[in-house]
Amino acid sequence: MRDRELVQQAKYGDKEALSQIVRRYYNEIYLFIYRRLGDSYSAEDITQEVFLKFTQCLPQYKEKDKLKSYLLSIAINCSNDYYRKAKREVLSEEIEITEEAENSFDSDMRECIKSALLQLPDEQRNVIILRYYHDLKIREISRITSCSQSTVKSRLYRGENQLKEILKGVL
Amino acid sequence: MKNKEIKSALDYYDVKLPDEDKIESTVLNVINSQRTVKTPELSFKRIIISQISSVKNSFWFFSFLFLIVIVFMYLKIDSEYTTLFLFSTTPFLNIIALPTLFFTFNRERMELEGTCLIKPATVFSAKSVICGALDLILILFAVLISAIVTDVPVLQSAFLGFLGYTSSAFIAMCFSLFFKTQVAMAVTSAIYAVAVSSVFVFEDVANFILNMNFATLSIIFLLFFLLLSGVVYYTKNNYKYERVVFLYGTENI
Repeated sequence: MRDRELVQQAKYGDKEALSQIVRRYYNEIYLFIYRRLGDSYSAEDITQEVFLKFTQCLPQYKEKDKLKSYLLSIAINCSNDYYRKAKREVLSEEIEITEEAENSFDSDMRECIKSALLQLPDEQRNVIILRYYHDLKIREISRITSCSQSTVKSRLYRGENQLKEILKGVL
Repeated sequence: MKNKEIKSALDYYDVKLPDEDKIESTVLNVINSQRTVKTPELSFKRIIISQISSVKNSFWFFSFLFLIVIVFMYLKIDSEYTTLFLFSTTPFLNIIALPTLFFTFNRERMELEGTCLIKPATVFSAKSVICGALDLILILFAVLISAIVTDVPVLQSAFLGFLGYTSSAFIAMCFSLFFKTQVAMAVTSAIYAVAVSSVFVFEDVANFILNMNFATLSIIFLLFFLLLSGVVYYTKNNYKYERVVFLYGTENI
């Protein structure tokens, strides 16, 4: 069944349709949040929060938006809220991860990339993750992040440059 | 364009996905959180008003154009055949109106349903009422002009016009049950064109219609009216969501 039909049925209170939506998009949303935060426990909690918020917003959701894009925009808002609420803890976690990653730089490429991504400013990180891991077009990213296409392009450009700088020895 | 170097480096960052249990617990929490909110139920009158505002400008344009053509022809030409021709073409508005209404419908319908408890069939009926009412007003208008300008009997002319409307609406809706809206409207138009042409090609048919007595005319009209009511009733009660979307012609299922 297509997204539009599932959403329509979920709006009518069909629980099976709602559960199908969650199952269909859980991994995609989890991956985005995990890469954004670098922490599996928080990612699991926030992924659940995304779907809870989606359920609350369901009556207002307009089908002209792609469901995946809509969920990703909720994911961005939820992770922004998370950052705002626990700014200090997140920052200390980031530093910890970065240091850990730098120590095992040669042996663990994955940790290195993770660390590099976490060093990027929020907006650039969002754009890089959406572009490279979720294969979204600039137009779609601009809609999800609620900013112009030129802003997205500039964030992408700066993000790529910064990543290259961080990963200089690896690339 | 993605940067290949960055892309290949980022590919190393794989993520272990959560267990199925975690996903299922999220599913359960989400389902349990879904509140059954009692959304406002709109009256049929309010639905009709809301649907009028969502009708495309092209629909009003065509209707207005059609009205001008009818009035112009009545004032310029005065013959029984012209009268017959005019009443035969009036139902074409019905054929223009139905697809125009349904094509413009989907987005507004979705938004309406998002906030209120409206069945697609109810909105479908509202659209039919708008379309039908406008058609009948035009027929009445044409009949009144004919009464002033020509000596055609008013009641017979009105019934002839209503018969054209009910028969074309009935045929169009029957086809809509089985085909895409575009196909249904095209086939209905073709059938109607053949019927109208036969009136002009075969003089006997024209004479039969023009000389039909009031009782025969009203029986035929009543028969089509009942058939049309039956199709509308069936559509309203039996169409499921998918079927109605299909009927609107905006999506292929």
